[in-house]
Amino acid sequence: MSAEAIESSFGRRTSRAPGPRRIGRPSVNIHTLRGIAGIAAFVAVWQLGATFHVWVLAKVPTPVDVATAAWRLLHDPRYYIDWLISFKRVFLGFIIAQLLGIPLGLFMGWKTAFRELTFPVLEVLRPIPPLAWVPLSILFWPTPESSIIFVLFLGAFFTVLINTVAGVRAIDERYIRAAVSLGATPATVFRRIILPGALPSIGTGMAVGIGITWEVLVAAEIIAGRNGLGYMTWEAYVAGAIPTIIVGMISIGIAGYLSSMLVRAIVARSMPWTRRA
Amino acid sequence: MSLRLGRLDVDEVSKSFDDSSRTTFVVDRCSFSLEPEKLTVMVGPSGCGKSTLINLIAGYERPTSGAILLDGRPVSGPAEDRLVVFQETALFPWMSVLNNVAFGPLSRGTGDRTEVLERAGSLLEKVGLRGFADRYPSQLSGGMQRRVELARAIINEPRVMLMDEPFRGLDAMTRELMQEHYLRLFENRPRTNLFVTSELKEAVFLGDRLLMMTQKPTRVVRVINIDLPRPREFHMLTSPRFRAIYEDALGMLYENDETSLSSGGL
Repeated sequence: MSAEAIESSFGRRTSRAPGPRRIGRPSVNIHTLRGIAGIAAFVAVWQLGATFHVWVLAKVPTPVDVATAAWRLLHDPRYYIDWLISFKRVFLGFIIAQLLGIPLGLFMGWKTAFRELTFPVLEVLRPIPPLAWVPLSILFWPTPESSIIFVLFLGAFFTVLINTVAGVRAIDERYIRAAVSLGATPATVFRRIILPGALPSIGTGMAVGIGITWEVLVAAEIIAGRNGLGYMTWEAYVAGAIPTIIVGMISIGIAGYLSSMLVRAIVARSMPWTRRA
Repeated sequence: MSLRLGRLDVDEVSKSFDDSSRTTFVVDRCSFSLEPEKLTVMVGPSGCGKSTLINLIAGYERPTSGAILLDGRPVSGPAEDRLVVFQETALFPWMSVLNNVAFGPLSRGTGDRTEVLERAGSLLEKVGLRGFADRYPSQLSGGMQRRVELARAIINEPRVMLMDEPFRGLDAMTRELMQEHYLRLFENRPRTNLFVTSELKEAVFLGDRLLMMTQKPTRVVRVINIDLPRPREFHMLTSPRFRAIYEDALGMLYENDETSLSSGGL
């Protein structure tokens, strides 16, 4: 992922400056070219290092080996099913985390007494890595599938919760005062001030949260799964198919990137006011 | 039209804040009245407690002692009969300009939606913002944002408008433009206005009455009547009558507090 992609991820400050450089060749984008060049250089270094057995790259298969393995997988329907299964798990965990985390966070940010009541508990639970929940999760959830989704849920839940609380608390007091003066009821203040006011911060929490969910996925699938991209990678390791391990890793990377883009696009769409005219 | 409504009495109001070791008085037994359909301007050194007085009248804070009465009834909490136009704009960044202006009537459910939006649109036209209804506040200049803020307050027909240094920080030309818009809105439809400023020239140019405030803890030291004719025009700034009132007030500031000149003078 290029730095530009990160910068423009919320739709603001897209660095497409209509300068003289672009005149005459609108279809060529220098930023995209740089990104492609970076990937090409990375693959070239990898290929050379693996071919000439440079240091740790000695035991790594070459990009050509990996490409061959990928080509084989692309003709295997199970590979696509693994993609679908992992996507389904990630988004299920992620969406449940949003459905619980955002309302809870809004309420915690809004009502001081409720925040003071709940915050200490959450602050103790938060630093526990999602993977530390796996043993317990396997014990108290009825199916392996539900325990995987629970662990994925935890990955995104605390991030979005903390960001939502922070977003509500960062809302300028003037907005709330102005709304109350103008005759807004508490329900209107919540719907038209608190919610949109916290949205930028919620968006950040979502973007970070989806990334964490993918990070957690592999381990969760290794421990409790029978399929999915994470399990596929593990299975390849057990079978000693090293190029396939790397295909699995790259697949997860691409899947995570696509999910982040999707989430960022949705977030940017929901906040048209942050776009520059 | 509710004629002659909008009399506001501030009666022996004090406001103090406690910190760990001591009590600091910001407002000290302050009394004054705002008369219906008059534009009262409050001048005083910056940081003297004018904003605290605004917050007390608006109902955001409660006085430590004393009473604030609007048409004889004590003020309790913020409401749409006393609207503040803030120093920094408090427009909602996530709403279009039109929705910002319509926010008050729509949240109170007064009038139907189309009618309210129509009214908001024509008010925007009056403050010279025709064609900006669908923009977001961040897409407007500072002066335009404050005009939206004016419209957002006026649409509610408040009995009292509280202007807390609303043109502060604008460049000189934008400020003059704002004064003109503000005067036109006031003179077309006079209602009780309290305008806080630390610019004496602006104060004399806009107001019917001038409340001169002391340093913190603040109270009114003198009330000056400004008998310049309305509508006010910029050429009056050079008239002998304007000069006389201005110099009288300036003398007061000298007399009252030397430090106030540096922050409150021209």
